[in-house]
Amino acid sequence: MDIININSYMIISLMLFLFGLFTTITRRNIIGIILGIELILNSAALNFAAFSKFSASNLEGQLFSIFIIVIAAAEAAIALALMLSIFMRHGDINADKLDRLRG
Amino acid sequence: MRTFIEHYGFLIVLFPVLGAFINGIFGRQIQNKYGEKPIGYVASLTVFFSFIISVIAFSVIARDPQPSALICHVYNWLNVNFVRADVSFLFDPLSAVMILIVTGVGFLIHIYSIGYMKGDPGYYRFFAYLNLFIFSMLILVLAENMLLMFIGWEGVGLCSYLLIGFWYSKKENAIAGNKAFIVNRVGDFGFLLGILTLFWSLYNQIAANDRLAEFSNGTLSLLSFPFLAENIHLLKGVNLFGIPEYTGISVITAICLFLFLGATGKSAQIPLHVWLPDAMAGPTPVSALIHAATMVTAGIYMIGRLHFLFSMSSVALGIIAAVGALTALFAATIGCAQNDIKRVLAYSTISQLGYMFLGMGVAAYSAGIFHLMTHAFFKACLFLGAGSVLIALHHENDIRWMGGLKRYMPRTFLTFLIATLTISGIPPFSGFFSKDEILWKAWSSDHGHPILWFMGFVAAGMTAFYMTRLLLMTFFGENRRDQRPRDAGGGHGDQHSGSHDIRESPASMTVPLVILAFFAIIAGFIGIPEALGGSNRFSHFLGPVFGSHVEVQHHDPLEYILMAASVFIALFGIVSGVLFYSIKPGLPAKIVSRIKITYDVVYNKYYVDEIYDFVFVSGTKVIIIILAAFDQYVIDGIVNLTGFLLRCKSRISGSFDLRFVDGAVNFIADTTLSTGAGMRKIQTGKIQAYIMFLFFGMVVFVLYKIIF
Amino acid sequence: MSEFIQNHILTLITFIPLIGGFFILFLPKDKHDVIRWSSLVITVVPFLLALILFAGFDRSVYGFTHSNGIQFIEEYTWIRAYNIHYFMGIDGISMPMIFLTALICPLCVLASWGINRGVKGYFFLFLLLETGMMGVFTALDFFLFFVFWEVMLLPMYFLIGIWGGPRKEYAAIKFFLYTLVGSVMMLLVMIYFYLTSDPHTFDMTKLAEINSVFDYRTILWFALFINFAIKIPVFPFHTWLPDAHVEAPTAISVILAGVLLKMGAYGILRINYAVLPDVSYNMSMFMAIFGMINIIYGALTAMAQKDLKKLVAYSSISHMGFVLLGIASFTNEGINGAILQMFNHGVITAMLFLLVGVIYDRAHHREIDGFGGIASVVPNYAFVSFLAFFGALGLPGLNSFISEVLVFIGAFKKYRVITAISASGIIITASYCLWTLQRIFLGKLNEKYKLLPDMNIRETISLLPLALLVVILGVYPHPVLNLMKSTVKYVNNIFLNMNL
Repeated sequence: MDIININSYMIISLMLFLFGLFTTITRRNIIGIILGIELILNSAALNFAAFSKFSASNLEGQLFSIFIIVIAAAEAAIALALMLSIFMRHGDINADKLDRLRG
Repeated sequence: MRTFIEHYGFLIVLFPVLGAFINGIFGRQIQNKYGEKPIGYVASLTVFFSFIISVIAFSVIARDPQPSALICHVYNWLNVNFVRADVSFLFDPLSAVMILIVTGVGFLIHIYSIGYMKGDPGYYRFFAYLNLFIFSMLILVLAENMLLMFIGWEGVGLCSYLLIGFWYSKKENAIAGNKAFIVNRVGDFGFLLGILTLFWSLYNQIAANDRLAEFSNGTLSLLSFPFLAENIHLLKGVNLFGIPEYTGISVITAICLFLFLGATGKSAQIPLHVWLPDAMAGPTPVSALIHAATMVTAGIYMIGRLHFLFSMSSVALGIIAAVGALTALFAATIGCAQNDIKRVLAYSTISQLGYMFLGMGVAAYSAGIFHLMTHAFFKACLFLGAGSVLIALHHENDIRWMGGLKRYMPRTFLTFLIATLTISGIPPFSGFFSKDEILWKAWSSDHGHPILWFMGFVAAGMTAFYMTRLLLMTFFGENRRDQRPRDAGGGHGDQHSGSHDIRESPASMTVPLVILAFFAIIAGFIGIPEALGGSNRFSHFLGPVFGSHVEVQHHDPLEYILMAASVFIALFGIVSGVLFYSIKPGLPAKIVSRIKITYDVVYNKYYVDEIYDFVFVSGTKVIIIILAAFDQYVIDGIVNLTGFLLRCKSRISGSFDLRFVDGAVNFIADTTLSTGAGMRKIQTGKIQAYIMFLFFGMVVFVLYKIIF
Repeated sequence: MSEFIQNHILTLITFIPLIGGFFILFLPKDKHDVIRWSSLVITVVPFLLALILFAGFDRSVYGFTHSNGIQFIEEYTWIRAYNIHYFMGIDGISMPMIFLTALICPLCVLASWGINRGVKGYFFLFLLLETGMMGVFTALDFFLFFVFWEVMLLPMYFLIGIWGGPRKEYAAIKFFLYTLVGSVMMLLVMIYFYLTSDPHTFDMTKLAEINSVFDYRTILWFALFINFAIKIPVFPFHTWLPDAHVEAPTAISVILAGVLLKMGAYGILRINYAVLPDVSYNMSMFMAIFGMINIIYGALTAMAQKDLKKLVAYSSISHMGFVLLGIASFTNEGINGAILQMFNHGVITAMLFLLVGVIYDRAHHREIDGFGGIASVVPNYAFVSFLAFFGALGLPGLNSFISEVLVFIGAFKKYRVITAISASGIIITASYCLWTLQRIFLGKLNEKYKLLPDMNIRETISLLPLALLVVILGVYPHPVLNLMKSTVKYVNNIFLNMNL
């Protein structure tokens, strides 16, 4: 039990976060970016659960994790819908080409 | 009667001004509607009423055995601190004589003018001016104080100006009017300075004597003649504002000389005599009334009125006598060489005025006033005679083209003859008595001197000479009208030849002539000197005014000698005149050619006009042009320069504003813009780039936190 | 009602023109005659009030304090924080000026009948100007005085600059700048007075009372003097005057010469003499010399002018020299003469400018040499012109003679040579007046003007009151002299009691 302490969770969560970030930055495909964001969200959820487990007696952290999963699902649904309409409009979902907001 | 004058004496003055008002304001309508008659009647009647009241006043004064000052107070005119002047009229023997002359002669000349001015479009204007003149002259004569006198003094000048320029459509007349007024103004300047000096020096003396309280109730006037007569002794020995008295300029002398400058202006004495000959441009009745009988004698009257002042300064009296004698002689010489009938008379007037000043200058005041009176009669008669001639000859002025009028105008001739004899000083005409008295006093008085007498004596001979010349050339011989060169000017362009249309003037003109001639004969009898068994009533009548200045008459055999001498020289003048212009008509030309230069100088009136013109008129013109240029270019130039410099400065500061102040603002704006342009590049619109920035930014912060 | 008028007469006289001006603004723009007639009615009201003032004015008041000497006082706090009061009142110096202003304004409206361009604006500005002028003569609080002083400036600028002649912009700017330079100096002095007085006040009577606390007196005096000297105008600050006159429309010239110039002399008497009496006394020689220069220089320069209006303008400079000489004399006679001369000059110069306007309306030029002999064509006009010019040259029996003689008598007491030289100005004045009359009216008739119409009813009405005043005040000057006598006595006694 001593081996798996809060640091282990933190390290995993950090790695998940960094992978997510990396995916988000490097992917050209919007779907990839979404996946990266999902990873970041999951790292956050993991953190919540871990801190809850090691610090408090109640289940607030776990609750938040579930909440995040629900949000992530909703978000994924919206994102996919948006992507679908973008694709239908531009025929492409390459993020580099979607630069209409450029200053 | 005395109370009547005391209360209603002002009516004398009021009537003429009423006439002037009626004719001046409504005259044009009256003339258009009812013709000339009512205008002439109104004007003459008002003067006649004045004359009636003047006679009453005179009789009151004459009957009063002990005439105290009879003052008709009307209202207070000016009352500021110590400057108080009332509209009050002073009746005493001197002013009584003067108002009789002014209204009497004035009335006759009004009557004469009714005929003379017939048909003139400015008829109403003429009579309005004439009435205004009578009004001003009466103010001058009756004034109780010097400021009121000054009103009359300038008022007569104004009327003279208006009447000289009466026919103003001729530019020369208008210029002559200007000249008269401006030369008179030079005199008025002196008069004003005299008043100022008199006022303050007397004030200082009164203050020094602690008598200022007398003025506190505000009824006493410092400049009123009775007050001056009473207090003038305070000025004895006072020097002029700190100038030590041994230089001869006592304050009295200064005042007298200032006032005398005024008198020379009004009475056409050297050096201010130049205006009077030019003033002949006015209608002839004006020349008779204003420029011979009344206005020009104002200077003499003023000296008579202030005799107590002048008597205190023998220096001033000496100067007055010298100027008078010099003018008498000087004008007489010019009179010998003139050809214009009115100009001859004008120079004769100047010369006679010189006599009067000579009389005043030797403190023979009553003699001066006596001559003033006789001169008023005979000179008015001469001028009116000349006017009658001019009407008959359709304004031909030049005596060279007259002659032989005796036949056509007997009444004019006769009166002219009488007046000529009078002015020449032939006994028993009045001129003899008055002139002789002046000459006798010029020799015998304390202030007199044989040289003064001699100058007057010579002038008397010349007077007889030029008057004889005038008479002969006008009335005797053949009519020379045809000889007049057509191109010799003349102005009126009349082509009448022959003398068939010359006729005697109407009764309205000849009756005044006859009356004046009558007075010219008899006026002398009231002043027959005691040496001739008379009683010199005139001098005694004026005695109360001139007081101590009536000398005791002692029967000096010299007086008879001088009298004989003056009769002799008058006869000599007449005889030589007859010789020159009747018996040997070629002689004058011969003599003239002999003394060409002298003749030219005299003929051109010693070039005084030209000199004055050059020095004063041209001088002033140069000065004013310089000053105007100075004003426009220097003063205004400085202003404009200041404006220009200010504009330059503002342009500089404007550009500073543009470059620096504004530049700073623009710099900030530009920098913001360019920064923005630079920053804009960061806004790629790529979400991943933003995330990268975010991430690296976080890394930087974390590193910062860790390192420091 | 009458009590209301009695208590607020100065406010009414000052602000009725302004209220009327706002009323004019609401009138329809193209009803010119309605605007003119209502302006006339509006300007007549202050004149009637001035008559009431004239009747009710106590001639015997003596002094310069609230309880003594100043009449028809109205005092309210205006700006409490700075102790600024709305303080109005009149004494013998301001009363003749108010009367003059109230008299001249209706006549100027009559003279403005021919204005066709921007009628509404013109009359509004004119009425605003009247308020400013009245305010200057009634205000006794320095701040209020200053406000009115500036209020006057603005309409004047526009009246010259919009309705003027060909060089109107130049003239208007020149006038504006000159006056503004003076105003700035006055402003500085005013602030100094305020800050130095304790408790801080703008009340002129109090400033006069505590005058010894002020330092730098000579500098203050000069700053004020220059301001007023520009207005008078004193040589060498006079060059705005001919330009402004030549370019201004007739009525504005009349106001300018008739009223505005008087403010300079009024200011000297009101502020320099009251607040800085010792310096004023020491500077009297200086003022007298400038008075003399004005008289002689103005007259000589006038003689050289070819433009009739310019000639009249320079003659104003000459005549205002008499005012300066009179107030520099520090005698009862001299100061009375100076104030009377202010009044008389206002009347005569107004006449002269109106006359110039009459002839300009007909001939459309003002060249003196361009006329000649027109007396026979326009006898009435010639008559009034002769009267005015003879009034200007100080003919005895007409009004300005009295004032000039009083000035000379007063000044001669102290300055003999200066007065003698000044008195020689009467010769020069006579010369240019007569020369002008001769060139315009006498001589051969210029054929061009054979059919020149004489004065019409409106012009006659505008000139008649002035002509009557010229004559009446010449033979009976007491109505005006009595107004000022005791105040002048008070002013003069200050100097007599100063023991300098």
